[in-house]
Formats: sequence, C-alpha cells, structure tokens
Amino acid sequence: MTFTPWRPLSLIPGVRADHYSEIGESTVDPRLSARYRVTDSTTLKAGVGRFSQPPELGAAIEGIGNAELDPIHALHVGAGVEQEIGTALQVDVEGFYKRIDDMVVNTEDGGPPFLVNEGQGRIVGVELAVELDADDVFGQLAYTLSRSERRLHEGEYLLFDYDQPHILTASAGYRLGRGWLLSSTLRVVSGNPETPITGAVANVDEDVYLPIFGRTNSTRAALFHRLDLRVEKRWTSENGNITLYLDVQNVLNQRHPEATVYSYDYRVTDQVLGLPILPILGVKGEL
Amino acid sequence: MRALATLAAAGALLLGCDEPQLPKSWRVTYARVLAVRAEVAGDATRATPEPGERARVSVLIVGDRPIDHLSYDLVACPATPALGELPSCAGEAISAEAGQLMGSSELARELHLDIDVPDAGELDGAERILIAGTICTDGTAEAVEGGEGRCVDGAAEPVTFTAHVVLALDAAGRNGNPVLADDAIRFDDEVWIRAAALEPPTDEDGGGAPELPDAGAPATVAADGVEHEIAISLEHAARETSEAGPEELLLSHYVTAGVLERRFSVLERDQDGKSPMLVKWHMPRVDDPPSHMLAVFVLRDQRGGVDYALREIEIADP
Repeated sequence: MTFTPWRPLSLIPGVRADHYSEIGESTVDPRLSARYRVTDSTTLKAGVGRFSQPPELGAAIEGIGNAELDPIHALHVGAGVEQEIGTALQVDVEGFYKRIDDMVVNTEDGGPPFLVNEGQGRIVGVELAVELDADDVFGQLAYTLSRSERRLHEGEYLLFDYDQPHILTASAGYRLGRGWLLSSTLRVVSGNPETPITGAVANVDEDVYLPIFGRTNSTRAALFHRLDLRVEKRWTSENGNITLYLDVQNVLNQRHPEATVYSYDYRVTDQVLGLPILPILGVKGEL
Repeated sequence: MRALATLAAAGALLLGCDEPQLPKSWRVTYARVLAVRAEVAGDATRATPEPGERARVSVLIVGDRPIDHLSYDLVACPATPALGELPSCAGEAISAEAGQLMGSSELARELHLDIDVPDAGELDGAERILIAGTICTDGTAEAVEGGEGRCVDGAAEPVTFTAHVVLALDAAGRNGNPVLADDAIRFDDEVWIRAAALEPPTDEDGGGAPELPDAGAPATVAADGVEHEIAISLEHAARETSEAGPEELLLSHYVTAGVLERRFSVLERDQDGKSPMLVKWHMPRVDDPPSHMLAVFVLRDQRGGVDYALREIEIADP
C-alpha cells in the first residue's frame, strides 16, 4: 500500500504479525519506507522497520534448550540516493544500520537453561551499486563497506564471526558481434575474523593437547579475490540456438586458504587451499 | 583398480585437494611430557592415594636429542571439576618444585614430585589433585596464570602440561597402576629389552634424580625402509575390573626416529588381551640417519592408573 501525500513523496507503511507456537510468543513489527523524487534522475530513499524471528529449531526444547526463550528482534534503518546518469548508467548509494536484540546465546556457565536471550548485535555500513548498459558494453559493480559486531551477556562488543568489511563484485561484458561475447567477473572479499591459538597445554591424562586461545576474533583470514573470464559464441536459427563457451575460473590461479589446520600440539599450522585455475569448456542448446 | 586409483590421484591434483602435511603426534621431535604416573608411597602398585596419604608423581620427558638442559616448574593442587576447559586449581598449592637438571646425554628424563594429600575435610570437595607444570630445554621454566608458561632468558618454546592424580575417596575409587611387564614388548618377535640406563644427571638443586630402569644392549636395524613389527602383550598388565567391567586400556606409542604405523592401540573391554597389539615401524633410507631410536609406550587404564616403558634400538646405515 503506497501513500502519496504530495507528488514527489511516496510512503509505504507496513506491519507484520507472527505467532511462534514453539515458544508461545507473538510479535508485531511495524515498517515504513519512503521515496522522494528530487528530479527526474534523482531519488532519495529511506526506510525503518522492526523484524523478528523465532529461536532456531530445537532451541526451545526443554532439557537441551529453553522453552522460555523470546523471539529475536532487529531494528533496520537505511537511507540513500538513486541517481541516473544519462540513459546507460545508474548509481545507487545507501547507508544502513541494524541493531539486533535478544539474540539466543549459551548461558555463561553452560548450565541450565543452556540458552538465553542475552546477545546483541550491531551492523553499520554503506552499499554502492552501479549498473551500466550501453550498446555493446554492459556491467555491474556492487561494493559493501560494513562492520558487524556481537556481544554476549552485556559484555564487550567483538567482531562477528562472519564480519567482512569489504565485499566487491564487479562484472563486465563486451558484445563483439556475430554472436561473440566476452565477459569477466571479479570478486574481492575480506577474510573472516579468526581467534588465534597462542599456545597449547598437554593433557597428559588423555594424551591430547588443549589449545590456549587469544583474544576472540582478533585476527583475520587473508583477503579473497578471484577473477573469472568467459568467452562464448552463439549460433541462432529458427529452431533455437546453440552456445559454445569457455569459462576460465580463477584466471589468476589464486589458491585461497579455505581453512587453517593445526598439528596435534598446535605448534605447526597449514592451510587447506581452494581451487586452482579451472577452465570449463561447454555447449548449451535451447529449442 | 590401479587405473581408478591413478584417475583419482590425477583428479585430486587437478582439483587441488592436496592434504596439509603436519607433524605426527607419535613422532617425538622436541622434549615432550609423555606420561605422568602416581604411586602411593610404599606401594607402587596403587595409583590412587587416599586423603592423608603421601604419593610420588613421576613425570616422563622424552626428546629427539639429548636433554642436556631441563628446567622445570611443577605444582600440585586440588583440581576444579570443570569439564571442557583448561584444568585449574581449586585451592592453594599442596606441593611445588622448580629446578634444573643438567648434563645428560640421554633422550629421556624423569622428574618427581611428592605430594601429601590433604585430609578429606581440607579438599573442598576436590576428587583429584591437579599436577601442572612447565619445562624448558633452554632458560628457566616459569608457570604463568591461565595454563601458559614461559622460558625466562631462554630461546626454547615452553612445554606446559597438566595431569591428575585421582583420589581414592571410597572403595570404588581405589585403582592400581597397570603394568607393562619386562617381556611384554617384542621387536621382530624377539623380546625387546629395556632401554639403556640413563646417565645420572647433575642436579643443580640437589634433588629429582631420575630413576629410569636398567637395561641391556639394544638391537640394531638398518635404515633401509624395511618394516619391523612391534608386538605389545597386555595379557599380564594387571588389568582390573570395575563396575563397568574390565578396564579399557589405552596404549600410546611414540618414537624418536622413523615412521610408526599409528598413535594408539586400545584393549577394549570385551577383549581378553591374549592377542598382542601389533604396530609396524620402519626407518626410511635417509642421509645421515640418527644413531639410535627410542620407543616409548605409555599404558593408561583411564581411571588414573599409568605405566610406561622405554625401548631403544641402534640404527645403522644400510
């Protein structure tokens, strides 16, 4: 439902109600978004809303979880601008902030009721999206700069396990004519935070080693980047078309570390590496 | 079948599924604490002292080269019952010892710590005594809060360890040490004699002299990659029976040179131990192989009872 109080402004209010039978709780979440068309090519936009979700499946089961858990809530706020430049280029910039309350986390001592709504999160960032569609050239670029943090039991905010400050995806293509198409995609993503292991204690009773952890999420995995190239030739007829393509994934042959593995005593580490360069030749037919 | 294996290997190479190569726990490559054994004073067969009794704790340290400098910092205290965390003290230390052993040319050393177990009323509910320590092969060992340790004025990386002495708080808690008998270990079907006696070290602090067992001359094998069979019999291991049935015995094996087949052997509850446990070992062809290999066997009954045995073999160029 859209309201237009005066012509350049449009408002979209909303509300969502849910009932979660596993915890016997209900939520009502109001939302509002607005768009203001400043000129034919420039639009301002903003939105605010509350979102709710139930605890994960099984978290409310008595004995292994807590039947008294509450739903998890999040407040989303965003504002930005959409700008058209000529007929071929569109730019969209938006800042956002999210606050998460009542996250389900383990109890401090690990004992009953095992899970409680004592986690909080906050995420702040900005997104940039650019889209180009000219005669023979097309492309898209998306970049997100953000910071995501979590805290437990009113403690200190620490980086979220999957915090990725930089996420860039850029793709472009060139129509060469006569059914030939050349395209490429570049992805650059920050590595996830990691908690370093600073040492280990030999548990001689059981002949194993127990790691000693450093500050939670105080280091970060290496930056991930991958460049893919694709060239294709398409033949079109009245009955359909056939495309022959060569995809070369990870053209730069960057073996990205997927995981760190440790020796039995945590003194030596190694990396599990991702795929090397991977060429794929294929044929696709459509009737 | 060979074609399939080749195809799989080629596929793995193409996809980059190369497994990381990490040190194996059965291979001793630096001075490590491999066993901690408790004996009630006056009765070495008992592993679990009662409140008010004295016990002697032995710490076995084995390296891949002579341990000519060994600094240690040991402490014993009532243990917290926490699971899944680094063990910690529930109360004041009841025994501590720090010092240095110097001048040995052997690969194994032994430290001792005598503990007087407090009376039941002073244990604050603790059911075990925590033994925690730091050792250094360079510098001076110093235990640090949180389970870590450091080697002061030394370049060595500290080795920290924990173990527990289980207390016999009632009849069900009484437990004896298992036994690795002198003739329990065979090498290529010959009884593998005990490792050579260790040199008495110079103890700068005047205590803690090692008491590792006497032995005869070690056998000799060539560094030729040929597999040898080690057989360990647990038929006469003084295995006990608790309410849960016969003890499950866990045997860890380590070597200071060569390649061992695996890290553990287990005598399950439903096995009688009449069949020996077999482990393969070989010394690959290498330039300048070590002159001898020390093998260490640590037997745990997983109720606080421990025994260990050292065996040695000379290595010759093929």
